[in-house]
Amino acid sequence: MGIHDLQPGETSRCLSCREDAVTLQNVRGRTFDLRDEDDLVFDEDLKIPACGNCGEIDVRGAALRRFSGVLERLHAARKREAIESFVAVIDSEFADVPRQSWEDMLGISHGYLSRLQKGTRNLSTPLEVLMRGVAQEPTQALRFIAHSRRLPSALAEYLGKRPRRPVG
Amino acid sequence: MDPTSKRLKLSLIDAEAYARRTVQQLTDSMFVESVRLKDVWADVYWCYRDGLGWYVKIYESDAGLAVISHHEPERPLKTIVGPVIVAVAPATRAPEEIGEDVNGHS
Repeated sequence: MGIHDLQPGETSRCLSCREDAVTLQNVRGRTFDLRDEDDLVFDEDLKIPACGNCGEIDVRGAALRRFSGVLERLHAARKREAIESFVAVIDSEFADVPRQSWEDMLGISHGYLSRLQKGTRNLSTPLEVLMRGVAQEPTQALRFIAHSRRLPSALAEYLGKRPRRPVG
Repeated sequence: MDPTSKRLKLSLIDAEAYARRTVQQLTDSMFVESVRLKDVWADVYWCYRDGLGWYVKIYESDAGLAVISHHEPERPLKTIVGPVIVAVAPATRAPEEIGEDVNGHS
């Protein structure tokens, strides 16, 4: 029985580890990495050949297109969530700081944040890391960045007003 | 597919097509060694494509040619005819490089 002709209840040999452990498995709830996003939780029902020994999955044709489509959607949603959480934090906690100051701090051109929000620009991995850091721990992230580059005045002023966390 | 997708920032569909194309263009001179996988022999090839070194492991399965590895070389290794393949191709192109871009255009 070929791995791509598997029927429910049948077992096939894994092409990678060569164990007779490949069965049709629903991958809903299983996590997958796609490019720079890790642990994307597959949120649709899809039965594909998966090895119970090494975990390798084997998809092609229509199943691959469906599998890939779901992961691309989850990948885009993860990026969008990073942008939205960043914007939510700077809008709520830094209402007095102009957007341009954030764009200067991130090293991106003025208006780029809006383009990211509209989806007309792709969020790069380094930028996403920075934005997530700021969204999670704004003050700490700004102090960290201030070690390597001069902060825009509005952000430097904000940091100056914040008491330093005691050490130890 | 995942290592290729990650390395080239491609969709899984494009990564699969890319790996398939690499395998189609392998030549004898890119052969490195045969390795035993439990009950079958698999062949390891190393090549350059788009300026990057690739480690490729394939074997003939019941269902056709199985491509079980297509990723960045984890260490330099010699092909059977001598050239050492590393992660990124040297500035002077190796004669065995597969001369296509990511989209498969020559």
